[in-house]
Amino acid sequence: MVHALTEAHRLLKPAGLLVDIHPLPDPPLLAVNREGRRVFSEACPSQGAEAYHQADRAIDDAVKRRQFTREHSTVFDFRTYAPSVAALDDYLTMITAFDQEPADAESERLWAELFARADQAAGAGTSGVEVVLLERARMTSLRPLA
Amino acid sequence: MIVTADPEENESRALFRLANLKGREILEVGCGDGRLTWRIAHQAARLLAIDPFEPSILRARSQLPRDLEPTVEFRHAPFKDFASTCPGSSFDTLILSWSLC
Repeated sequence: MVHALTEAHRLLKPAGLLVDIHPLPDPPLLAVNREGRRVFSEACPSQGAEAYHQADRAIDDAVKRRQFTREHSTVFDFRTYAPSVAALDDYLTMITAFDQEPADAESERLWAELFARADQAAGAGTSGVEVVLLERARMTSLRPLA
Repeated sequence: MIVTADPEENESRALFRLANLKGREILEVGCGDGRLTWRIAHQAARLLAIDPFEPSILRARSQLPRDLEPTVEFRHAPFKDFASTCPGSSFDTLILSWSLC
């Protein structure tokens, strides 16, 4: 992470701007709506929280050593919608294929159990199902210092 | 219905509040299949979007609208490899899109 920030600093023009976006360490929420009614809602297993803390610390350190100055920071909701639990599972598998810290066996088991509970709540083959993953993310803008 | 990420566009709206992207040369690191790229490309003078996951880059390229071809380039590369070959002071804005951790 330190390396990434150092390279970002080098690649930016002197008056440039670095924007970092990464999830908050809080676990995401998985919800299932059926015919517009919420039938399932549960916090997801903690995954990647340490990596997100490390990202926060890397930015703090870059500011402390005067590589960057922090301009603004904001938190926003990021929702992913899928027509089924399986579709969401496939999508998450795809977008996390290159995560630096792949899920361990225990985490994978907890996710599988969560998806099984959500799938049961959705009802197999039921139409009008909407599966929602709610994450919160932080966006930070940083100016490079000479 | 397919999987849709952030249809409310909370991410791009937050970005527009924090950064003026108009006419900027932008590097987006961790572009995936271009979810955020499409939402900011119309403001950029040039947008280079990279990702280490080749299937995502191929999908993004296949969806690149003709009118954005002069502005947007998708490249399959991990940030470390890309940075090692890129001259310094190349970009006005660099976006680490869910990729620092």
